[in-house]
Amino acid sequence: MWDTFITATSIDEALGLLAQYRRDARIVNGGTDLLIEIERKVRSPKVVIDVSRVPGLDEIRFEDGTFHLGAGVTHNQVVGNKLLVDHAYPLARACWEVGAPQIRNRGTIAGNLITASPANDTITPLWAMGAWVTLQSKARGKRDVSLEEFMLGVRHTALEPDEMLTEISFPALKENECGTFIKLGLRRAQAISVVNAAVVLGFRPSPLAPRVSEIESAWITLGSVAPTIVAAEEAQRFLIGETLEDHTIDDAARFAMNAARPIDDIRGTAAYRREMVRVLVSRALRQLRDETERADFPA
Amino acid sequence: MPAAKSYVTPLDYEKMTPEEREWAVLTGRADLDRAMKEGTPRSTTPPASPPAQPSADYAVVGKPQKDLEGYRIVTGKSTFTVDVYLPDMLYVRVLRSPLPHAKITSIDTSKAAALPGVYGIITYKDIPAQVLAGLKPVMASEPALVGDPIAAVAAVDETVAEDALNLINVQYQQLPFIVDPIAGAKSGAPLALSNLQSNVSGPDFKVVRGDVNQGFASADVTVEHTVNTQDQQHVALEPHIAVARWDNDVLTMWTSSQYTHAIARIVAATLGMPYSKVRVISAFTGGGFGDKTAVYPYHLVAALLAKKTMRPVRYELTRLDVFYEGSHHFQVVQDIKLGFKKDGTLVALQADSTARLGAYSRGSGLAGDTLSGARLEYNIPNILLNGRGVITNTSSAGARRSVGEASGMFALETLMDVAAEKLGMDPVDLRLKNINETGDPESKLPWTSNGLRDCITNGASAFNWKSRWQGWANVNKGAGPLKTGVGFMALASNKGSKSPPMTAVVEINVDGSVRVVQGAAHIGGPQRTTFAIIAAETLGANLDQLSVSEPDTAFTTDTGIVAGSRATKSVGSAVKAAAEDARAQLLGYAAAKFSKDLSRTVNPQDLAVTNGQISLQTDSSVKPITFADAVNSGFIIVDGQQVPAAATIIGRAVVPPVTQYAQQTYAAAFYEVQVNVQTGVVRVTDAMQIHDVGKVINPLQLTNQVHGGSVQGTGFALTEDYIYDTATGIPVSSNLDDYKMLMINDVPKITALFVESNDAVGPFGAKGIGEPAFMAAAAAISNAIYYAAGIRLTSLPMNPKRVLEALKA
Repeated sequence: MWDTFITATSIDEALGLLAQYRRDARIVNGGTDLLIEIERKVRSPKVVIDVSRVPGLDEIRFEDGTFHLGAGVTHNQVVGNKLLVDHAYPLARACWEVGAPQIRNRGTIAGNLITASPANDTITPLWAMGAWVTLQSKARGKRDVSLEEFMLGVRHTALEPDEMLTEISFPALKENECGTFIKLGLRRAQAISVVNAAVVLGFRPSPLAPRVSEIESAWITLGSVAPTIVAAEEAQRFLIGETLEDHTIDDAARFAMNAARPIDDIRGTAAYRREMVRVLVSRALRQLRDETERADFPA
Repeated sequence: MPAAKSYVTPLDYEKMTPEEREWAVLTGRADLDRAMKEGTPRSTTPPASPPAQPSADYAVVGKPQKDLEGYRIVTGKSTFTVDVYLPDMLYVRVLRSPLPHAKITSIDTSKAAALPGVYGIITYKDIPAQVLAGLKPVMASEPALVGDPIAAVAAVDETVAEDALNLINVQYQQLPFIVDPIAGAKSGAPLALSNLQSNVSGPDFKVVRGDVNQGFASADVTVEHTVNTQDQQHVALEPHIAVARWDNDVLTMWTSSQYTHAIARIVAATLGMPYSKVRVISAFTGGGFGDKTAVYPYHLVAALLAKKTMRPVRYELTRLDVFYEGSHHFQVVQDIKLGFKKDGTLVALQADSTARLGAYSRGSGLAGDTLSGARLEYNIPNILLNGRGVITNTSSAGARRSVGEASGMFALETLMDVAAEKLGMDPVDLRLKNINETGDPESKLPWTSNGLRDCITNGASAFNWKSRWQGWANVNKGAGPLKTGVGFMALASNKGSKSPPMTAVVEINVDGSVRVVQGAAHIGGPQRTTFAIIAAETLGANLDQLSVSEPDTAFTTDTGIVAGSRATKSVGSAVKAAAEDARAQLLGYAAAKFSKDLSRTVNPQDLAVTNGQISLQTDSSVKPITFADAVNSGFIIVDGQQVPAAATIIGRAVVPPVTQYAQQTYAAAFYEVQVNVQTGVVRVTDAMQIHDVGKVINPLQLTNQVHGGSVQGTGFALTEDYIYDTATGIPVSSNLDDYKMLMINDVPKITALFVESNDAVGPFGAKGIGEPAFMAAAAAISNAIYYAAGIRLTSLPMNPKRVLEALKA
């Protein structure tokens, strides 16, 4: 158990404490991951710095087409925010699929990123939407880091001991873009992903029905199939210039499968996970083509 | 070759623990054993059918009644053991073995003892060798599973106790270990405990009937398969917990239990105390499912630390502790083979069952329980059954909602489906052709009742089986990634019987209120409501006159365990008999009062009791009187004379065991599943269970039991899996994230239907329900998966990975 529990009242105070205690300290907000890590003795911080009372940390800002989520924003805040549901659907969908209402009310997106498990659901869509995080320290001030640079490995990030993640930013989906997130768990709720996938597609503007024209941009990211989230680059490249025919979808899903480097664990075998990448990516692409990706999302 | 005589491996009662004896009684093994030892058939003529109980219109029985305790429970006012906090209480945490098998070479607790706030520590050095929790060491010197208790600390709070554990220094010498029961049974396998000669525990369970070789030789169609069912934990909502307090030489223990009297008895015997000086209270039990039937190390840890520290001590197990120390629905590997005539008549059965016992269960009884249904469900002239238990370095096997029968029924009823296809028969017709409607072929005792045929035919009609199941030519005929199919199973269970001890007291008080004093646990059945209904019906009282006592060994008598689906039938029988005794006394008082008021002799047999009113049947002009009027009159009639009597009535009953009948419960189940052939995900989309419950006491509670059982049975079929890493012996799904239980959005519409077969010995003809509701799922789901997607799954759980592997094979 920790020796000291400090409730910080400002980011500056939290940064000061981090500079003082460094590796002995750990920030807590919702606590949905940290408390379990402490109980399982994965982490044994001597000082726990509670930032849940820091004013303004749970702010969601939308400026010039970019979303900025404060470090205190919870999963349910995202699900309940109409702008995010409309213009960042892959993230909203992922937040909706996390845990149960109690966990979604407490757990923060920032915490999900810092825990950095490849099975964490919000990393996949944020990665596909090109998100970056703002890290702040007393000594060096702010720096922005892309998720790709931030995620170094299983439960390993670029966060320095004296740094705090203060903001998550990502561009909103544009008029011609759409996306979704799909997860496979071993039951319908409160299940860690066996595999998850996020897809964001941009179509060439067309006077015809949406999503029938050629694809201009494609991002496909996969969770729980490698030490970090991975982008299915071959599949992304393949889709550019194509339209979403059945055979293109099948081929893209196969390319995505090749990007996965999964392991065996008690939730599934590597072979099963690879196969599921194909199934999930193909399902996501079909839903986007058929405009059904929001069909079972609560209005 | 001489004709083989049918026999069953005899039980050696002297070598059995009290716990094992209780289970032998509960699972019907004791009856079977007695019948076999007495030799041969009791009669050579077929047993007569039991007399049916009169079917009647009842005032309270059979009407939907809410749980009398429901309001208290849902408003948080009922005292579960987790709600018990005493002044000056200490909290316990236990250090547990990280190794599956080792010897402790040194243990140093001095640093932990010096930590401020620590009041007491115990290790194996503090515990006399004869002090065991059943067969489990209270504190291990040779830990035989990951999670065996090594040291227990009592401290001012749980955090300090936890910190103290980190200061205990233990050195282990690692020993070879064994996790897999099949490997463990082989000679030369590492021994699970150093004092064992072999991991195979005791003589095999064995039943021979007829000549199985001749049986198979005469068969036209033979089917066989090997089935592997998994280790499971019950995950009752309230964790295991004991709060212990000593007042001089009297020990009071609050614990979440299914059987307070056994806890008191075993704790007293273990600590060398009189039973009367141990008081065990279990006002409400937050779920049990068989896991709270025994004495565990934690009971003795609480008692011993309370004694050592001279303060009340509370040990609430963490969920991880429960996974380690709690009992487990054991892994079983079964080889089963059936032989049929062309027309579907069963002629031979051979089954072999290997049960993983874990470190501290013993004998072949658990394996035997997996074979019970196969022995009794169908008429089979030739059988050979073998069962053995194998000791392993895993959490101990124990009772879990049906003990072994759910695994046995999965093996049998999936093979029946395979046979039906091979024979080209409707699986429903194949069952109907072979039902054993007479009695136990070994003991020659007739059934108390058998409603299986009605369960099957009523269910087939309600489920619309004939149109939803479209013949064997239509297996795997669906298009698209989501394939739908239906499946069916029938089952027989030895649970739900009337078995001793059965005792109860019914008081009628001076104000006319009625109290049922009985010692059975309230674990969600909800049992107390059932007893109130039975007493009210018997007395002619209104339900709101009734209250039912909480189990407390200081004030109630031993009426047996609430397990084995026996509460309604066994405890209910005692309550009914005690209420009959009270009613007879009540009529004595009432007769005296009427005699006095009317100035003429009124006899008890002239009176009727309905809705809490006692009336004179021979003269409707006389105003009825209430229970209070009668009890308050202060006189009873003895030999035609009015005699002064105390203004209270105490009816009592000690009910003898059933010796003239064999008891079984029956059910049929129809399930529909949707198999996603891309992901391997199986969803149950429709579930129907039809149970022979003898007589419906309370349809509302009964339906709830079926819903709960079906959900748990579906978890057994599809998701729940307690997995050991064979390389390290470490359980890897010992948390509620990796140990997947179904959640409400995984649950389909469940339909519960009932058959009333009027059991010959149950109260109002009732039987049990708790366990059959759990059993009536897995085989039907597996059969439905086959019909939907053409794959036979013989390992549980049928998770997406296994489904997809089978589809690709």
